[in-house]
Amino acid sequence: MRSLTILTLPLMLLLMVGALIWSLSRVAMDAAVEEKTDPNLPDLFATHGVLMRYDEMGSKRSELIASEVTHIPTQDTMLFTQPKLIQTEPGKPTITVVGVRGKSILKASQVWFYDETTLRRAPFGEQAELIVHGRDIRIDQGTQQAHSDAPVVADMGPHHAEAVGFVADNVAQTLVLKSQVKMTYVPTARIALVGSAPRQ
Amino acid sequence: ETADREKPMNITADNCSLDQKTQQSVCVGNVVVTQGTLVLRADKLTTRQDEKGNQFAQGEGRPVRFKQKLDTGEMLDAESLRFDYDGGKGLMTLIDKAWVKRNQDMVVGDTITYDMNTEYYQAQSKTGGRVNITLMPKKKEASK
Repeated sequence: MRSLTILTLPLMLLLMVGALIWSLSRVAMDAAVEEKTDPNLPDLFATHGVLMRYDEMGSKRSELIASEVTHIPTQDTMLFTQPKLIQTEPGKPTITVVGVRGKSILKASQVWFYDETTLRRAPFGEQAELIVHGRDIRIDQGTQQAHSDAPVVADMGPHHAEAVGFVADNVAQTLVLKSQVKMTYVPTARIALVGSAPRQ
Repeated sequence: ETADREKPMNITADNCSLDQKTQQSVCVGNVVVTQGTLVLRADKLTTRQDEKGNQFAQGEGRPVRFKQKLDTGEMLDAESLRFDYDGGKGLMTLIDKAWVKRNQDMVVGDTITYDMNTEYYQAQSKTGGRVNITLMPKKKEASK
């Protein structure tokens, strides 16, 4: 009986050690896998980030610069500190948005600028530069629209407007001021906008 | 005043939409326009600007109210259901149930055109209608 025990003891020991190693590796793997797959935790953190988007023809469509960039897998979410978005589309005025905090999802197809934000649309044709001071602005790259429900102040040459809430459409080149609107038109603005045309 | 047209035009309203391409804006709800001594209240206002920077406006209200101080210092009051303003020519046309009151004188008609350059106004009625003008005689100054 003793010899049988002696014979089987190492085997038993081997089995026990093997079982121990197997279970440890299972636990370790589970832990690692769990850590890697949590999509709500950042998987990238960068300082002084520059993100550029190009269209199919290879021309740059938008550039986003930020002092800090955090990426979270869920919805391909990016969080930005001091973001600056420059949107350039052929044949359209360049739009620059500077903010305090920003977020983008789904390959920056939707961008949010939280807190104080300034949107500038470059002079274009006869139109003077449009400057919009607002906050909590959302930009939809697909529809090329910027929205906000917060107070906003807009200036274009000598014209001035204030409101609560706006929708700016870069394709249709329209600006809807949603409520509590105050506007000032300066009659001979057109000459002022285009430069000093000789006075008749 | 005749100089009002050169002054900035201030507009307040419930909401507005601006079209950059056509330089046209449409404002709706509690619209108040002030330009110099001119004050205009309407429900809806559409404004446009031409290449020279002249302002054009159309509007409607229940009614549209219009008030302006004349160069003589007198106040001119007017009302109508619709109006059309041509800043280039300086003509304000009041349309539908229009009346204009200047001191005690009053003109009532279907359409009244007011020339802001000359401060003259012309009243018309629809066919079959009548224009009604009331002129208050000026009091003679007491003989010395």
